[in-house]
Amino acid sequence: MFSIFRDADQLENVEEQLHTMLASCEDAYRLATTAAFGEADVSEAGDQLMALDKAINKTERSIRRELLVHGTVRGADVDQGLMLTYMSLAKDIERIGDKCKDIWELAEIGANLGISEDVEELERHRVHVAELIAETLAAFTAQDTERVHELIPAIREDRDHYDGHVTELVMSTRPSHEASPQALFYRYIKRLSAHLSNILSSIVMPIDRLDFYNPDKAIEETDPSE
Amino acid sequence: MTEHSRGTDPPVEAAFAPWIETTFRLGLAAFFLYIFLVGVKGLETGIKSFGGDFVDTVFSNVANPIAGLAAGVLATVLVQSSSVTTATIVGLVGSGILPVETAVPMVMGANIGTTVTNTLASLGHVRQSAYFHRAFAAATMHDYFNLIAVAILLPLEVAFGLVTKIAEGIASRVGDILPEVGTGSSPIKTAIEAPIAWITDLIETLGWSSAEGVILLVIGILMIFLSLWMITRQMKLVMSGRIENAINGILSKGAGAGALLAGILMTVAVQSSSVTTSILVPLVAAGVLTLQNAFPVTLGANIGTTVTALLASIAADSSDALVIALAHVTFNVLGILIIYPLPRIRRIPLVLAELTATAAVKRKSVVAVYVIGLFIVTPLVVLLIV
Repeated sequence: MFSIFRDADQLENVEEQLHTMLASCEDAYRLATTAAFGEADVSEAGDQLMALDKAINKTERSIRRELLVHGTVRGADVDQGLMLTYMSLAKDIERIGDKCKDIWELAEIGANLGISEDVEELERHRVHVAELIAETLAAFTAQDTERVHELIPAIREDRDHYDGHVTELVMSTRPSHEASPQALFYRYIKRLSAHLSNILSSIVMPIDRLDFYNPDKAIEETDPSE
Repeated sequence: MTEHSRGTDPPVEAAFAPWIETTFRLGLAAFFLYIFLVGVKGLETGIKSFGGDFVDTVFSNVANPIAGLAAGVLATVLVQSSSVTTATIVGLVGSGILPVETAVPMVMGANIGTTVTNTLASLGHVRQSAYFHRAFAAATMHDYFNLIAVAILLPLEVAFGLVTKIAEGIASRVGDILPEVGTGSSPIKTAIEAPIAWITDLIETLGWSSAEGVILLVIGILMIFLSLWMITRQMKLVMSGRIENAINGILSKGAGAGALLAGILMTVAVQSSSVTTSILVPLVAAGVLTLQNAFPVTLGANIGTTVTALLASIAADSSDALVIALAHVTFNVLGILIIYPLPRIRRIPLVLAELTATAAVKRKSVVAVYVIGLFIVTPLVVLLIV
């Protein structure tokens, strides 16, 4: 009964939960794409993915509650900027989970990206996004500002690339059952990457510019040795 | 982001800082606890020096239980702290000037008066009807619980001296185990009395002996006020992590004995039931904590806040001070034992709070009538009439 009265750094706990959510997104993306590329049983992958998504959503709610309690108990002593940032991060990570579900739903409605004539290009982007999630998790955990300034511009380039693919597929004369799943896949990974970019922006951008990366407006790093 | 989330190891001084800060704040809280006890002693000594006739005239006005109740409500509303009121009452009883029987209704009044703080806190949510409805209900359920407890226990106290007799029984047992409590002398009492003796000497040296009673009374009340405020502030900072953890536990595990215990521990830790109950109001307003789950925490706060009076009784000369402090505990425990165990009775304060909140949302004037009427006009009118 007394265990609830132990001391704990609640913000540290929230940070750990954010890392766990992001790590779950890695798994969710892997499950979704293996189903969408016809490499796994759709229903089995779906069950695992839904369980992960449920856990991600539950953690988001838990983070919101804990931040509310933190703000209520600490009052004026609370770091409001950090609390708002955590709220925003939890939402972005939860949306990544949703995008993974969208990708899995492509398989559920019968699409198989693994047999497409563009499979190599699709596969390249699939792997790239998986790496990007892992890199975001690493940069977020280490609060690696240098890496963030490399990753966000790269994600912006990817976004243009995905848009190009979507435009090409929409304008193409290929059958809808081929073009549509691919266009949707590019659209989903574009949104997913945008959420990763938002997460990364929290490391370098001030609170009012969260999600709006601009290297000229980023928080200036101070060298502790100076 | 802030330093909080940086992945690097903290510098050596930062790693030690929390320990130093916690120790410093606990030391400050202990120092102000001492100041609090000195304040109670000063108040007691000051009142004693007024002389019997003056004091008899003042306290004859609150000899009527209803007037005592109203005085307790009004005094607590004015100082916004039941701890200050009950500590003062303990000091008055300890001086032998205020009889326990007269003081018990005043302590009950202090219980009602202290709820004004979270009722005022709920007004911060007035912009959004749904939020305000929940916030106002969360605040007023505490009022209704205390009003119902008083409605049941005050007549029993007046007719049979129920609360006083139980408190006397417990005090007598405590006296058997710890004979120095109340009447005896102890190193703590010697340490508490020393500053008062210095102040009295200083007053005499300055030639202000005729105003000694007033000066000691004012200094005593200021010391009680300041020390309780400082203890609450320091302990809140030290205990924030634990309080958060306890509330998160209540949010995930629900109501019941655990929530009641959490309410007691949180309030003992910060020495203020208003802090505990005011934390609950925004959580209920936001919808993450239900009224039913907040209720036992509120009741725990009612018990937790009685520790202040118990601490104050350490400084008093008379064993009656312990009796009135225990009467405060007894009143709150009895109130919970009568109202909480049976679901149908338990629901009464919650239903009344919901109804009041609904009326308050429909007409904002209800809020003003409720707050001013219950906490200011009614006790004032009662005092004037009785």
